[in-house]
Amino acid sequence: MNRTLITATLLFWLILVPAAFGDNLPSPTPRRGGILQLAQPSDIRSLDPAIAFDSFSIPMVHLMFRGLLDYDDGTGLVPDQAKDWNISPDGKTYTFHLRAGTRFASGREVEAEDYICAFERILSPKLASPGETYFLAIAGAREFVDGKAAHVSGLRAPDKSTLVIELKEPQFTFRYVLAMTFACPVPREAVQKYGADFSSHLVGSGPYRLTEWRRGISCRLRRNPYYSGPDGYVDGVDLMIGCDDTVMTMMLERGELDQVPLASPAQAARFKRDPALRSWLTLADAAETDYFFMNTEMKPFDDVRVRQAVNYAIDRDRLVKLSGGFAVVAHGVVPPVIPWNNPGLPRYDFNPDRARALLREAGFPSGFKTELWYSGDQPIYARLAQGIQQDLREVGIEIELRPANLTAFDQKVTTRHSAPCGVWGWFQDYPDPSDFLDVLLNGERITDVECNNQAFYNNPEVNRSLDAAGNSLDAGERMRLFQQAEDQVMRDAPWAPLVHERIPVLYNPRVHGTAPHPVWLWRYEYMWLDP
Amino acid sequence: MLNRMLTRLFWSAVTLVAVAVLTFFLINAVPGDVARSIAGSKASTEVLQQVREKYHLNDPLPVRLGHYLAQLARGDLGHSYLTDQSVASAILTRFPTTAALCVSGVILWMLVAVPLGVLTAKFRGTWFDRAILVLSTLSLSLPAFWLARMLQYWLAFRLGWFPVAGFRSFASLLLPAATLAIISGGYYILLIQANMMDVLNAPFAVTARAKGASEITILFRHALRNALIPVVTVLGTDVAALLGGVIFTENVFALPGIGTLAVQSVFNLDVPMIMGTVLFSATLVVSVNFVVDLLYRWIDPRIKADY
Amino acid sequence: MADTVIDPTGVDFPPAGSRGTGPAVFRHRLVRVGAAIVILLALFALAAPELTRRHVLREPIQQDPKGLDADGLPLPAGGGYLLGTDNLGRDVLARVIYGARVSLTIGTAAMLLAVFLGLTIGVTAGYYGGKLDLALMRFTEINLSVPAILLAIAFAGLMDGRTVHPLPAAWHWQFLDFQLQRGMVSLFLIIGFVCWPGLVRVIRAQVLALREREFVQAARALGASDARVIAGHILPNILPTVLVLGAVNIANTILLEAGLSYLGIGVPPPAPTWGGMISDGQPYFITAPLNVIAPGVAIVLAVLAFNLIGRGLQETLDPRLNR
Repeated sequence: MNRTLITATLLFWLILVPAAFGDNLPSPTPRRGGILQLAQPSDIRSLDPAIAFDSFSIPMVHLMFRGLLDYDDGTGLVPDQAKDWNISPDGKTYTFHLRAGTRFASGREVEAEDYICAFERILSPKLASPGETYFLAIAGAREFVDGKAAHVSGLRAPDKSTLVIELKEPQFTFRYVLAMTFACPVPREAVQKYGADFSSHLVGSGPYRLTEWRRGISCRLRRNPYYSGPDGYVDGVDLMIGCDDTVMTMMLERGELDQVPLASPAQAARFKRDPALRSWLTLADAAETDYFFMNTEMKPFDDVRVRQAVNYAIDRDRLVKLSGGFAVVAHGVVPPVIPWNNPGLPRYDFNPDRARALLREAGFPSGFKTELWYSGDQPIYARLAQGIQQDLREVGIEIELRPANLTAFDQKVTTRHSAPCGVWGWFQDYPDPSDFLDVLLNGERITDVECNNQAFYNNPEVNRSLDAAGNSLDAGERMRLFQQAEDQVMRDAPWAPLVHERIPVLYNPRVHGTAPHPVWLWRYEYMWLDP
Repeated sequence: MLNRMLTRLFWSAVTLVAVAVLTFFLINAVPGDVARSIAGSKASTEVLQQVREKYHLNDPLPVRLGHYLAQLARGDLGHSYLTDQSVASAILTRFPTTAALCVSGVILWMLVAVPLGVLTAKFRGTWFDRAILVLSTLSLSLPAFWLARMLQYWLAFRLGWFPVAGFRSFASLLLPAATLAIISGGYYILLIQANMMDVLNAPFAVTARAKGASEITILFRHALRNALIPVVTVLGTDVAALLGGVIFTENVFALPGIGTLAVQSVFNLDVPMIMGTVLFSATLVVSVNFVVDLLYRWIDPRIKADY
Repeated sequence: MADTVIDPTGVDFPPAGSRGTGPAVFRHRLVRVGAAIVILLALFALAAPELTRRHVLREPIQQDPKGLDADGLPLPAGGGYLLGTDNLGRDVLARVIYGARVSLTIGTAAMLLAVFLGLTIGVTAGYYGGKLDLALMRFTEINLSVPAILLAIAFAGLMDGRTVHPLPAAWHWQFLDFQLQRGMVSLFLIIGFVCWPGLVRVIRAQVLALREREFVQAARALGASDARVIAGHILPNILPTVLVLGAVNIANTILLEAGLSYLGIGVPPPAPTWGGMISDGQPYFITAPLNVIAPGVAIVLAVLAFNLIGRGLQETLDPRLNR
């Protein structure tokens, strides 16, 4: 998942190692009641589950909407509003039996047709949903999107509480798609009644429902009286929109706020150092990678020696220090937090002399000049870019920094033959290596515009491994193929992976139950407040 | 009088339309892929194409201007590219906050500036007068965002006398209003001072003194009223500057007003929202000028028309 | 921010040809104080690269790994860093001094542009009068209706690196293309362009008054061309006003530049700008307050200095306010 339009993203879809700085006190008894006071710097783009795909919208959507599957306390998938499920041996047919008594916030019981309605909404061309690509794997989806069919043939509801999904081809990662907020049901009569206006009359089957939303200003959620799962402890959340990190921290300390979701290293370091404040800080190891990509189709980055030189020239430990210690060095593409490992991965240690030697070999004894593009809205990238600029200057590479706002940056680096290099980050959409390797480095996915492979890296061997892994259903075989692919990628060095971030989250001591969750990061419905 | 008013009204409307046209050209003339910012960075090519058609992004500029003006004539300011919210409703929701802030700020500085201005005129030439002059100039020189941060940190965070940010109660407006007051106030002290000087030496004041009226009466009954006239005028034209200070103040104190809307929409390249806020502030400025113009003529009919 | 403290009807004109305002101006205490501050700042700004070369001053953009403490936080004042370091380990004092280069340059350039535009339009409107005057003043009023900072933000926000083809797309002449990038040039152009409307009214009022004076009437009666009258009589006599306007205007342009840098749309990093330093330093305010206080004080000093000069000039030139 790309960093989205909004600055300073809230982390989401994470895998989390139990934090060193967690809530260490013996927890008092959970207490019902109270309203969580939350804030975030940027506006919610949409609360419609078919549209919300950024880290400022999804937390609220997840409170309002639930679906077939969810994650347990870790990265395992468990049925949520489905009673049970199974996949056919050929991997193409998924059958779900819905749990009885699951209701929307309007009171009506959820039926299989409501899921079909939700999926077809996402595929409907009118809505322009960013989740469309995930559902194209369903048989008949393409025909539906192209307008050749009125319904998606691969979606069937044999009865009210059974849902059958048939895929065109087996796809291991489709199960994770069903745990995303896209796959949550919506009441079909509401969709029919309101049509495009449904976004203003949202009703879901999650633990909370929307009671007030003043765009760009505030948002309020309160209990869903019809929710079938265990009730959340807090009665609701109040979200304030539009303050920056410094202000949020001041409000937190003054008791005006309960959580600072993405504290900058500056604030977090202060809490880490102060014994009285240390318990307020929680650290989340992010399943994400910040990387410096080099356009392998543009000089001088078309020469593998130049790319390797860059890898040797960057002092990753210093970058970690610049991030206040809230990061770990990235040696590869896939973050270690994802449940796999690649012990044989080739590494690049900090070695400026080797870098200069490689540059000389490549024909650049006195270095060269180039431009580095990054998203200027986000301070982490500014820090990384300036850090890299200095390191590369030491080996003779003169970097001109090009900060751009997110949209312009996105457009620049995803267009072919446009940006020579840049800094970017990628968060997981789901806990699988394909989300990194296949999405970002598969040469067959290269397009002339809107290309996620910003290095325009194309190695047919790697492509083959990745495609094979995509089609395989054997966990062991997939891991082997991904390891092969990652090894080759590191040798070819289209990227210089930089760091994996550790996200500081601050909580006011009156909040309990703040133990982090591997994928959702925090689950508000499990938190409770002091009286 | 009515004739004059109608002419003024007409020209105000023309001004607004001109502002709309000029801003539209300046902001839209530069090509950039707005479709991406609307649809989100993950959108596929087909989705982007649909978005481009929906917002007429492929049409030539004059055609788009035509669409926009027609839209304006219907009273529709368009919808945000980002959240699909109606621009008009976004602005109207936030206007009360900005208005409350501005009014509080103006009241605050008037409470301070008027007495100070009067007193410095009375005590001209002394250290008091000089000190106020320097302090006023100093307050003019403070950057709004810096002052706002300092006040927020010391008075709200450290001492806890005020809420840190957000708009939860009337108390949330006090520090921001103080920031505005400090920044704008200095100018008015100087202005009042200058005008008081005139007035205190004017013939009618001399006469009044000769007739035995006390200094205080002269000061407050006659002089002040006359001295406030230019202040009212300048206040009108200064609305634009006031709105400028509001932008940073709202930003620092996270107040949900027009200022934060403007800054956010520029960063998001949310063109309809940018146009909406620019038009709205222009409307405000023009309306205030219009009202001030009327009042001015009413207060002092001797003042000749400007243009 | 109100950009003029002068009431135009009060500024008196010396008889034509006299240059008697010279020495009187500099005897005014405010002008002396203001000028002293400005000269000091300018000297430091100019001398900065030389000082760095002689290792008296540190590099402003060098990220020194020793400049951060063990947690990666900025160092406080002392131990070789007179004002401490910033979030990337750079010397705050050096950055403040180099920041003066950015602010003073952009401020002056923008002021010159604004004054040039303001003079052109104001003198034309005031001198020729009639329909031209009406049209020009309407145009000015339109520009005045939008808050300067808002317009500046909108323009500066557009500077995201895209390329502009000023010629119609069908003509494939690329040589006139330019890139909209953030930098000193685009910034001073934006700020200057946004500031000129505020100057026009005052200049025009002056020109209107001057036009009716005897020596101007006489020159015209004698058949002098408009250009001669403007160049020879009008311009020299509005010089005092223009000086005051200019001084106060630099104060405003510096504030505008700081504001734009604060919002992140000023000169791009790693260039040291006062506004940018405040914005970068905010998260570290509690642990390293000098990061925010030092550049703030610098801004206040610079702006105050020019305001004092403006005020002092005004008092000298306006006999009513003279003490």
